[in-house]
Amino acid sequence: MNRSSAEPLAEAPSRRQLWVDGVGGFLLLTSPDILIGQATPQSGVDVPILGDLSRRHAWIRRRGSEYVIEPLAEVRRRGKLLEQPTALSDGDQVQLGRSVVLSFQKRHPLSASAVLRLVSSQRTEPSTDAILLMAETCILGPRSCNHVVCGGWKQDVVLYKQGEGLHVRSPGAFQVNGHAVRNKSPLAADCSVQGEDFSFYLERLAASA
Amino acid sequence: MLGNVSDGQIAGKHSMRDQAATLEPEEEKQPKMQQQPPQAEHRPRGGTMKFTYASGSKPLDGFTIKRGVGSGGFGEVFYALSDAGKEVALKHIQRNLDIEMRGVTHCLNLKHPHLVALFDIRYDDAGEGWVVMEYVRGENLKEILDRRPNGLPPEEAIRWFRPIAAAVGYLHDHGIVHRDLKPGNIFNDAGTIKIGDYGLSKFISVSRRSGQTESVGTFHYMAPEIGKGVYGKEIDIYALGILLHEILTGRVPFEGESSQEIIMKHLTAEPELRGVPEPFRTTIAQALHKDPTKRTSTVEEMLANLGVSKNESVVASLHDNVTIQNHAPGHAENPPSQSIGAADDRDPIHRAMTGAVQSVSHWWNNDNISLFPKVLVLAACSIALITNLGWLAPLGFLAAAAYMAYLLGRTIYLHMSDAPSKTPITEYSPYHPVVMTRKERARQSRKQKRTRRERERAALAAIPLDLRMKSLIGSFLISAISAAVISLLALVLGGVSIEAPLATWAPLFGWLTIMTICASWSVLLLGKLWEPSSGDPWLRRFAMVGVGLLLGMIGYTAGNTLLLEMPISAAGIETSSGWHENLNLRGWFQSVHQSPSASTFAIVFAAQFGLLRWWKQADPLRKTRLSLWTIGFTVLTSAVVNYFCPFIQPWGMILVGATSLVVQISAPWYSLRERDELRQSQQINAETSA
Repeated sequence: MNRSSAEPLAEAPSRRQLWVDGVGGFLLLTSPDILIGQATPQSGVDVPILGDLSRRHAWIRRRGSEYVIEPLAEVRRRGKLLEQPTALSDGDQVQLGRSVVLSFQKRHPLSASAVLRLVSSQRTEPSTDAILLMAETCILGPRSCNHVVCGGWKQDVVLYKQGEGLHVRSPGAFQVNGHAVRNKSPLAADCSVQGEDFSFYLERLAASA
Repeated sequence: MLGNVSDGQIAGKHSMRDQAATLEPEEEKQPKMQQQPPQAEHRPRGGTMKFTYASGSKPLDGFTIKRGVGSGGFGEVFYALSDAGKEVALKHIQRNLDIEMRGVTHCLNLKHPHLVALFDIRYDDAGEGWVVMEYVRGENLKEILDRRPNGLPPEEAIRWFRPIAAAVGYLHDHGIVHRDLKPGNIFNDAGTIKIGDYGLSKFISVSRRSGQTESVGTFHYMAPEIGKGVYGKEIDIYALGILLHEILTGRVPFEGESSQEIIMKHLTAEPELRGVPEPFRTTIAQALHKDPTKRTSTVEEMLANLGVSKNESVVASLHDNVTIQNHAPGHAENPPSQSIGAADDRDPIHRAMTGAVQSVSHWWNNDNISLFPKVLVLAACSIALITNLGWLAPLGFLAAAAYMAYLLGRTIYLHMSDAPSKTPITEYSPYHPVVMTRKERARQSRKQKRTRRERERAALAAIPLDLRMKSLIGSFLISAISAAVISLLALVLGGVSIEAPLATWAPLFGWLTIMTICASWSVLLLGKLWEPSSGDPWLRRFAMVGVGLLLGMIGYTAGNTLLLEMPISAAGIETSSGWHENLNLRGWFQSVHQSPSASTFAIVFAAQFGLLRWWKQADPLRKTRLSLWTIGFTVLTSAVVNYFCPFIQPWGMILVGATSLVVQISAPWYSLRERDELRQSQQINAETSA
């Protein structure tokens, strides 16, 4: 898979930073194939980690609602060294190299999206609380199965793909970049979304770091 | 504010440059979000996450705000990146700027592994102050305790508590009182515990009194002397005691629904520590002493009480192992005083009686006494009782009648005078955070002891109607079945031979069953109706009298329909040689020469239903599911009523006893755990629907 031949990034960035007030910062990835590797200049990976791992360490590919990890270097799933692409299931711990440990979560019953979290002490670049592997929808809200768990919110806010870009859906009135909208709205590459009890920002990142 | 907008645009550029290697022209990456001006008018209020500065804005030169983190009593906290990419937390001081800044300046060069580091103080173009701090990524203790509502096991609790105490001790050594220790200020930064928010909130009383944004939770950690304006390091020790309790049990020792209620408990109530293991119990009890001079005086002492020392390792992490001494320090045998919050409103005679009964039962249950003497004593007592029943019984009834009259008089007197609270009220200065008038305080302390029960009641009231109807119908079914069984048992107990022809005892059995069912159904129905609130007992008694009248009529009609001869002279009874012959001494039994009139029925039933608070026997929140005491007392009342208003015996008394038994068997009852769950689920519902 050659990343440079991916979709034109100016129109629909596949990598975004999602900043949720009072909750955290997240790396939002919309591409079905995610490359994980070391954060070095021009390393060209989707998830750059400041840790002891290869520049291109592993692919995580989504096929339908299944996720498969494809090792390019030393990868262990649940402690077992992987030789070939292996399916991931909710709760898996994946060790990359000597010390980087990721947890894989796919909790929401109605969405094929998954969440990667760094369990070990390293950080991604830019720093995030979790990496969201977005299939069709990404659900922010108070319930623990949501991709972004936001205590104190009254209801879910759904980001979803439509055409080339991202849209947002939330019952009732809210604001996108200061403009009042109702129920749903398309989202620009960089934007702020503010509702009665929530506020978050999307910031585009380069297609790969 | 316009200045901020342009700042934000610059910030966007800068942050982009250091965040990622650039593959695209600079202009393209300019975030468009800066069209959104910082919303100064949207200060955070009551939990909604609205922040003054939007992501990408740059109010302070050199830092780009990425998102809001939270807000405290003094302002908002943001997660920001410096131009070079350093993650920091920016605290915007929005209140008492000069004083807060002086406090922070004192702390600026403190260094401790378990304190969140302060980097600098900066002022923006508008002259507003910002504290640049270390950004701590991990969860705070509040979130962890929210996930684990029953607290942490002792070893883990120590792993949390030792670094917290070490950091507080370090602050104290440097002459600084934290003043705002609470789980929300304590973080787990990748295994290292860190305390934040020190050096701030100098003006607790001011901000607490005026601050609408403050949550009730803040009051849970406030030592009683804060009300007098005393802010010594003892208040930190007190807060550490509360914290330790919360870490171990998942809950703070003084809970309440309003700040006034919580403050009142801090001032007057003793913590309930029975479930806390040693050495924590004694340590917490000594740290929570109301008098700051009698409290544990230093953090080191507190740690020593726990059997750990501050210097074991400077950096304690959650992965360290610790051992806890399992014996209590110092005067460990001193059990902490029990709660005085639950003041006793029973009458003195009842209290004396219960005390006597308790001491007897204590002696009785003592393991040192073997079975044989117990049996001997029991037999002797029984024989004495039976042989002397002739004069004991009437005397007992007279005493019971006198006691009931006294009880009635006392209740009416208390009801009329609305007696002032017996709980002593500690005086405190008018500078207390929440100034309450004496009257309010008295009301508060009266209310205090009932709140838990009231909350449980409220939870009951929240159960939907259909579920309650379902439970009522279930109770009706159970009561119908058990009424038949118990009536049969009562028949045998009353000395009726069931071997005799059916016709001799069936009418009586039918009458007993019908009456038990009618009586227990009325009690169950009213109990279900009245369970959502505690209500006015006198109104309820009045209603019960009405029900009693009705039941009396039913009893009379049923007796006539079943051709029951009253007083029962069926062969079955004549042949009996039961204990009830002994009761047949004087008074009521002989005086019934023919079937009691309808009015006798009505009076007897009305009195029996009006004298007792029957609905309490059907209350799901009653103390025990089935109380023999209650049944005994109920039967005793019935006996007293029958003494004054002659009625068929022993069937009148047996009917009342059977009704009480049936009601208690069939009425729903929640165990303590179920009540807690009910209350919590109701609270969650209330919070989420709010």
